[in-house]
Amino acid sequence: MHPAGGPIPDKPVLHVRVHNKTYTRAGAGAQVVVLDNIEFALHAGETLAIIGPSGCGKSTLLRIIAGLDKHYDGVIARPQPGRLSMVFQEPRLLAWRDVETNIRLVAPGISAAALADLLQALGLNEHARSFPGELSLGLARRVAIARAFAVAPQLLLLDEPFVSLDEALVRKLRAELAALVAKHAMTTLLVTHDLLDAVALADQLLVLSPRPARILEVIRLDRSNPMLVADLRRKIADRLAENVSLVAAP
Amino acid sequence: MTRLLSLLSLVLAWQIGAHFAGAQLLPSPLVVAGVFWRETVSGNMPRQLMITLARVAIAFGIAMVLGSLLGVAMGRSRWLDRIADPWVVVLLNLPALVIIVLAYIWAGLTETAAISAVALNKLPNAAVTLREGARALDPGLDEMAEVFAMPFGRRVRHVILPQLAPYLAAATRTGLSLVWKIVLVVELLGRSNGVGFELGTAFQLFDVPTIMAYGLVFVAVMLLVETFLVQPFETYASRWRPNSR
Repeated sequence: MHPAGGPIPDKPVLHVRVHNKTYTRAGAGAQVVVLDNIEFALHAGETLAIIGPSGCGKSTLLRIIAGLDKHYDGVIARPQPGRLSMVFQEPRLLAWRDVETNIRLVAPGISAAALADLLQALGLNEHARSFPGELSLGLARRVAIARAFAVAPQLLLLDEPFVSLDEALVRKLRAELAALVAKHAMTTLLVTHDLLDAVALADQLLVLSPRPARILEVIRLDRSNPMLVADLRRKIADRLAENVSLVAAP
Repeated sequence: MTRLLSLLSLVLAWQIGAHFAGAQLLPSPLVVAGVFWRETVSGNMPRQLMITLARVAIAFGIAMVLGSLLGVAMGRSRWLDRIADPWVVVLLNLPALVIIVLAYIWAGLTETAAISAVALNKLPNAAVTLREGARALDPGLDEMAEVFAMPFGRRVRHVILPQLAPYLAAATRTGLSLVWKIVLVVELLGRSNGVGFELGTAFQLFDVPTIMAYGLVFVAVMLLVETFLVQPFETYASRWRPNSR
């Protein structure tokens, strides 16, 4: 990842340059700034986690990157349509189509072997013919992950993919997803409030300030010399505290 | 079994009523069955029934297609909803008879006028039902289809239509019973064939057995359509719901 101003060695998979994103608060008519001067690039094979306090605008930024929010001031260079995929906070499966059809509808070209591999990797082989209403939330999340990988995307977006699952399941699913990301060398952008998700899945952290979100810090995670999560948590908390005091100063 | 007993008790009550009211006002089930047999053997009843059924099918098809498209567009676009809503409200509240009479005056006693009048009566009904369906579409699934760049046709078939299916089924059910009844009035007022025309002729001759024979055949055909077309469609459309399997 290359923060604003840095040299860009090759064409990145994703280049984000959001000067600002505002919305008008209902009723009052006041303009609220959500994102302020956010720029970074993501190259093939890189994995980046965006973390920040809740409500800071992480998900808004991800929606802009996914092309779902077009009302912002800036430029996004992203993969062609169909070469980008996303795992939403909710599974967003078609309840009236079985698991396999849900996957094939977004990835009609996937071979039977590749599909079988994916279902196997996510423990879904027995559920290919099940309808989403028959699955637990954990299984439905797995289907959403399988669907995202099935399109063989150039860029994978993950929006809090483990929210509202119990801790034991989160640990298991996190490990499975990390293995899949590593196996496919998938360029991945993750938005999360959970540092454990970020550390498990990303090799860089992008810390956002409270609203309006600005980039506070980019932390490179060295897998050969892993920083303790507790240290990381302290470092981020310190950085956020500094920022809050800066904002609060007269 | 209970339904059969209920139906038998209805026939029995009819028979008793016929006994007291007299054959002129309420002919017995046997007399009506005789008329039914005579009209069927002569080929007149099947012919008139087919003519009416064809009108029902065409008018219903036009009204459902145009009404559904309008309703979905209104449900998706607040701007279009604001523009079209007063029109829909006017059409919904205009008595069917007024539309029929005006259609015959403006376009003459033609097949086009008849079909248009029936379709125009049903169209706002379908539009209002499908507008609710379009408003209830899950925006999360829309976004999913957008992110995965699903082609338009696939999106309509697999994402949108299954969500609209219960509303389409509801519009079909209410629509068929409405179109049925209006087609008879249209035929009575301005056509020279069809079940409505036969009923009109029988009314002028005070021929109660013929009126009842045609009326009952009509109900029977509607029940067949409901049983063999509408209900299987509903079952098919909701087969994915866990409690329906």
